[in-house]
Amino acid sequence: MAEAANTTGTWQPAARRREGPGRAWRRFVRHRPAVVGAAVIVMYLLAALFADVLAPYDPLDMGAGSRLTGPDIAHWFGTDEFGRDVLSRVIYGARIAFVVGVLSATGAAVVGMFIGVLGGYFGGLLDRGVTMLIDLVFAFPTILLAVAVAAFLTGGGMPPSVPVIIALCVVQAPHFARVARGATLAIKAQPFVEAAQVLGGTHPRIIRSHIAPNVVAPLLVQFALSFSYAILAESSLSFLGVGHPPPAPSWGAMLTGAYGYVERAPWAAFFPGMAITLLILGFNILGDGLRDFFDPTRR
Amino acid sequence: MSRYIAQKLISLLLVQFGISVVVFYMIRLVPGDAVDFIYGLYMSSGRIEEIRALWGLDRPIVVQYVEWIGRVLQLDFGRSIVSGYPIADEIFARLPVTLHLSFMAGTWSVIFGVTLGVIASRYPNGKVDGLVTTTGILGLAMPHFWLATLLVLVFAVYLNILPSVGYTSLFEDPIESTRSLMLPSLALGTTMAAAVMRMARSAMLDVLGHDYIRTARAKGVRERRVFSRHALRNAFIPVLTLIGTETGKLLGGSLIIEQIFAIPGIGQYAVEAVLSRDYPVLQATMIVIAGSYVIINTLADLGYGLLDPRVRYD
Repeated sequence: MAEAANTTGTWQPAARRREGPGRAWRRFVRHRPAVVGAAVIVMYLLAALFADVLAPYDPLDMGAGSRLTGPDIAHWFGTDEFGRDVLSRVIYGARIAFVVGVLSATGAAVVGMFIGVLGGYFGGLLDRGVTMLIDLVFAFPTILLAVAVAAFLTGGGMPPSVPVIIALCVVQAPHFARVARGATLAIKAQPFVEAAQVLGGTHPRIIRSHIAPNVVAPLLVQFALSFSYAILAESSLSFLGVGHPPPAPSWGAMLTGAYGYVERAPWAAFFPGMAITLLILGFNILGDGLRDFFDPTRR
Repeated sequence: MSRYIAQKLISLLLVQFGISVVVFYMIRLVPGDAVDFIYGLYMSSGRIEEIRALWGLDRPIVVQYVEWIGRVLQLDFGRSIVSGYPIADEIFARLPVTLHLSFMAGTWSVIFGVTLGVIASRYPNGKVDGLVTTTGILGLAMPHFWLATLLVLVFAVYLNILPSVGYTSLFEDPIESTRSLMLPSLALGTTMAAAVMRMARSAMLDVLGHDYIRTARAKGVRERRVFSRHALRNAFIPVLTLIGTETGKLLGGSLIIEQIFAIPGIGQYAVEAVLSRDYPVLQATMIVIAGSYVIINTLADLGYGLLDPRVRYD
């Protein structure tokens, strides 16, 4: 878990020029595992963006090949029980993964940062409320809460991604809130914030120009973790039948379908799972790298 | 220490209360309402109003909550909409199964995680360390259900040495029972094992860098003793905390694992409730799972306070 304390000592007053992008980039590139992680993610992102060009078949086309044929030249990852091309479905699955990942992690980051910074900055009763809210969501195993929220929301005529994204926002926002709150508390104690207050800076101004920029770095690590969690959770929800319903090429839903005939066609289950694992691996390595990157004691 | 325990117990009660409120009000998230959803299609509106009155859904929401929580505290969770059977009976039959599965998964994780983590810290950046670090990262990235699929494929389909579905009770046939939970517990425990392994490794490396370790070595303590007495004991505190929180997470993972392996535990009950929109069952299972989760985490906190006196004084 990313701890805000890791970055103690890097708080910057707004006036001081921060490290230029060029130098930061060179420092990041030196961190080889993080670059590998980023490269894997970029590869998936390209697959998601150019799915219609890259995928050899229509992911929903049941006539792409004969049913349950093993991997060969025509179908690199084989075909599933309806004769759909597994490779094409895995490629299109990246779209679902990224849409859900980006939207839910961004939503959770915005909500969590808002709540966490307010609680940490103003303290008192507001902070009590914020901490209680965080603790309450943490009181549930995440997957249970996500399943329940998604299940309660589906059926309202929304596109199938919406309940999943909202559910993942709900379970992820407290993580951001906790990190943001911790970071805010630490920054608030810095002399430059006091100085800004003495100079008559208004609360919104201090939060905007002194607190917020310094909270972003620890949140970035959390963002990478949340993104990968969202992808894992989306596939879990779809696997359990409360995410994307068939025939959507969600990796999790593909695995549910494939599990029924795994003895006859292991490839139909193997490749979607491989796709999830590799992408999450990329995010976790990037997350570890970012944590080191922002941690001044490891420079 | 007693003050620390009292604090923890009070916050445990508060959180349990919070859970019950969340679970109770969650049902209001359903677009329309539950009665509409279940009976709306094939019943007249007059009949639907009757059902609402029968369930007390026409009364003020606070009154509904108080009545509901009163029954829950007496372990009366009502009846399943789908089967009509009392929910409490099902839960009592299923909870031990889930606990058995979680216990086995937790045992694997601790044994493998701690052992491998400590071995890796013995020779940092060596071959074992490389292997341990890689499996650690991989274990955290693999979804439970994919790992379960692979395990079934290898051990049940190709080697045919372990069963791929079902559960035998421990009291019925201990050996068969262990065999039936072998694959599920391995699939469930891998994430935790990976987390424990990483934590054990980094905690050991951290402790081994301290001055008192150098002192111990300098005064001629054998390396084995430095490891077991001076390092391991101190490194174990953060590892134990992690084991506590991760054990709680196993309950969440059981939702997926029990579904795959057709294990009649509480996670499977919850998933069935979600899929069939059996709201009373979903409420009950959420209360029980989240309640147990919080209790496990509180126990971990208490253990932490017991081991590390510094924690008690904040």
